[in-house]
Amino acid sequence: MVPISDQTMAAIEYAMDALNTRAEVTANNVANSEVPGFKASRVSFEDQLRRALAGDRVERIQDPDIAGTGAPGDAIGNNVSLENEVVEMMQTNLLQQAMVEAFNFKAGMLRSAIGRTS
Amino acid sequence: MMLPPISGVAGTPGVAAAQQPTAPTAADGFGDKIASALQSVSDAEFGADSIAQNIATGGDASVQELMTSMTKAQLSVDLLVQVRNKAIEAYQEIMRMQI
Amino acid sequence: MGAFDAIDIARSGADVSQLWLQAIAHNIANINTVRSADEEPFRAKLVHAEEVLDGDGVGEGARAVEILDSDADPMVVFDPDNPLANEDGYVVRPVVDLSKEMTDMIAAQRSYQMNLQVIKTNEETYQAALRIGQ
Repeated sequence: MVPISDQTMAAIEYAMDALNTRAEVTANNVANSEVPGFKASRVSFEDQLRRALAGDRVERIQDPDIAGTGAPGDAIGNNVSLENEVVEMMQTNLLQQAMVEAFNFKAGMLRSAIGRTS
Repeated sequence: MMLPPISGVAGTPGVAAAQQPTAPTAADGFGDKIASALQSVSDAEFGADSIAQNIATGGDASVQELMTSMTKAQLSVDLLVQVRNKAIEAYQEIMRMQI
Repeated sequence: MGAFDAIDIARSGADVSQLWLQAIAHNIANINTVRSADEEPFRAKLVHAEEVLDGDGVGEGARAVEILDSDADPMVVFDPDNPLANEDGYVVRPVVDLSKEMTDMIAAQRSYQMNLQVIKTNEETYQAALRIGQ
């Protein structure tokens, strides 16, 4: 049976899911940028993904890591930097679109390999 | 539709779910390929359906999960169609040989 | 939770910012609301906001919990010629700190704009995701 998914496609899907989470966490940071005591969070997944790809075991990869930024709080204990969050958000958007292109490329290759007769 | 047993070709093009290949000589038969392609179509479509339902009812599945699962389901169907077409070609080839 | 969470979250942030802007506008409009010292002074409105958490403790945006009156000490001033003065000639000034309100207004506007930007950018991302496989 021709496998529909390979390591690369699994990696792309994992990255898309992690970037989706990153977009939500970033949106949450911006929504709470003036809430006293609120501490910003970050999503990281690139290291896990790199290691999983190197070991050829993307199917057993762990969930993305969500942790605090560790930045110091201001007078009301809030540590959100709006500039950082906006940059993060724009990068996430572009990366997600790149992953869409990568997935479509893989799907296109599979279509060719299958060889449609219309 | 029963194919006459010829060396190198084996198995019945069946509607059953994927089975383990039995004897080594029966491996890679069209029957097995069709059965496993059918299974992966059914799995893929079921996956896409449940994600679509999840989103429609406000669940937390993501848009990209939905679209990738639909794409993979479509690819599975394409593959099944191809396998079927090849099986039909092979049958027609065999029928021609019997003259 | 939903498929377009980032937009829902940003909208909740925009709503809180909007409410904050309204409170600030209200406070600034009353910067000269002097009253008789026998009455309660005008007190600035403060929006008390907090993070919204889902069942797993994951952040889902922000919400305004309540609107409070500033509890700062009012300033009583002797102004016998003021028509609003009490029998002893005292008025009470509004409990509003104009410079704080101006600073807050800049922050609230910025927060509002950023939340709108989040909505816009994520809409673009979701649109791209909807084109997977197409």
